[in-house]
Amino acid sequence: MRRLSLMLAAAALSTGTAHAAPACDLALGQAVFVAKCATCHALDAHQVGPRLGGLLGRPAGKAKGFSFTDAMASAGFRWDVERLSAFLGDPQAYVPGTSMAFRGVSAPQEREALVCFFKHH
Amino acid sequence: MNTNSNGTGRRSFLRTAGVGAVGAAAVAVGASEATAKAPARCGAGGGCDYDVVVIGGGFAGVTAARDSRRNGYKTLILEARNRLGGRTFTSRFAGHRIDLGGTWIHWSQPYVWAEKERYGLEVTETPEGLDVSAETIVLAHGGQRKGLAAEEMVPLAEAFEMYFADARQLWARPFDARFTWNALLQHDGLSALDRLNQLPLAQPQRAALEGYIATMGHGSLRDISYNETLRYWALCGWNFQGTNEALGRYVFKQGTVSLIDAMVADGTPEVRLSTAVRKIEDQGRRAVITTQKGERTTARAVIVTVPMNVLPGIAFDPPLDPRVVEAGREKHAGTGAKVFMKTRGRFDGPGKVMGLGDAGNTFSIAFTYAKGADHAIYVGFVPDPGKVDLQDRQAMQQALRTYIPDAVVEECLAYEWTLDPFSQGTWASYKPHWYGKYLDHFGKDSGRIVFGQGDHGDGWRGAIDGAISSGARAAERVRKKLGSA
Repeated sequence: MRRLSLMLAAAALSTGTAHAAPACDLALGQAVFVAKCATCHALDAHQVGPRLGGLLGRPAGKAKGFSFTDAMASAGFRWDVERLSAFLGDPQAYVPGTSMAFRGVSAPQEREALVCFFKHH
Repeated sequence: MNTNSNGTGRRSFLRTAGVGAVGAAAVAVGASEATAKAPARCGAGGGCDYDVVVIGGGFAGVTAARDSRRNGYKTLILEARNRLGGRTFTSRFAGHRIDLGGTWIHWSQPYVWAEKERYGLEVTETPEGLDVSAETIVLAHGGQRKGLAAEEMVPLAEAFEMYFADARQLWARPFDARFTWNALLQHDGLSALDRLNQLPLAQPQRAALEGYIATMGHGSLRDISYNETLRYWALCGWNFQGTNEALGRYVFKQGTVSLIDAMVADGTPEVRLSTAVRKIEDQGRRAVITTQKGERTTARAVIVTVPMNVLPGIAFDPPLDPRVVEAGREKHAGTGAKVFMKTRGRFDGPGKVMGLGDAGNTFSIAFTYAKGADHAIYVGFVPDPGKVDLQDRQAMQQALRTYIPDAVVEECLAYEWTLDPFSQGTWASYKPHWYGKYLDHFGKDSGRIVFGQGDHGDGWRGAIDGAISSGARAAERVRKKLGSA
């Protein structure tokens, strides 16, 4: 029984999809996305920055049709909740050399809500 | 400025954000096709891919490329970002069209105004329909805030006259530093702060000047050269009203991107976005440009338009003048930020609020940028973004309340040009001692490598106008170098 619950927990962590998402502030997340991210990003197409729909689970710096900086292209990880939250807190510290000119979302509640938004889009 | 007329609702905005970038990129694709049909002209010059390769697709680069195409040259722009525009960037915020970088233009800026007229682009006021007579000025100093009555403006006007008293002597001809070179050199070591400390100013006078000048140079008063602040004053007609209107009243109705688009559509240069350059070599018979990704392109001439702070990151052969590298590493004084804030509630009336305050305030200047049905947009200038979180609406609300005590900030946005590796700063303001140390070294062509950076040059360097003039002059020097196409 204990083993099963551990497996389930691991599965939830590794997928990080909408289905595994806990209740979170989607409306606030959307507001933060629109106010901050949408300057350079859209969900369904590359803009100044890469397409962000379905970000969680994707490998960093590898979206087809978008030219990433070497720093992001060689990041060598997949976006999960933890990494995305850390990146959004201070993008240039998390991936030094990224060309994303954004200092990050420092307010924990807003950052959590933004990650929540990505879980659902 | 109006949000609903073009049907940009929240949902569609999620899908089509970055309107500026979309516009510029779309034109670039069309331009690329047009150029491909044009005859290649540099075969006779030694098998070059292009006659002219322009490094950087801001206003300087786009102008240089447009003019080079008009001169008959096969021309390519290499742009590091995934959009054109450089340190101008038209986007949307809270349903309003905004410019995140360079924004305001005026007929006292001859190059940009000529382009506006040439392409028939419209301007509007900030905020739209502004009645200047209804403007309210709020002064903050020493933790106090005060709306100013007309008679209280008199001592402030006197303070500005005091600070800028020598502007006519130092900049008899603001497009020609050589005309008053000795006088400029005499004051070269002086910072804006040094100048303020020389003057017998009452506290409100000092506060108003601190706010205004820190915004003009977009950085610390210690770092902004006194000469530079007087250059702006001279360019604007040596008076407060003129300076205020030239620097902060008129914007392109469709954003700065509308002029970038018009110039690209006119010149149809080929454009490669997301293509940062690693190395530029002058091999005598040709120039060779190597991108970060290792692609090589050859040209008869290269026009370099990248920001001065970015230049040291590109390898040159023969090497750059060491003084130019040194200045780029030292970086110019423009290190501030511009923050957009959406505040709750309608702004009634025909005017705007303009707050300015001493160096202790987060915003050196903040003013009404746009008006909505149930909200207003304010823009605030932050000379020192290091001491505050520009993306935190609570922090920005607190800062705005210095001037607007009941403001409720619902959203805020700043594009942080200093964090962008392809600008590493905002508009260029030279630092103290730079005239003597660097002015002779900036913008000096070398063989097939020509410099058309908007950060340098006479007149409005650092502004959109200066970028256009630098690009135009670089293209003209290339024409003389290469001869007729």
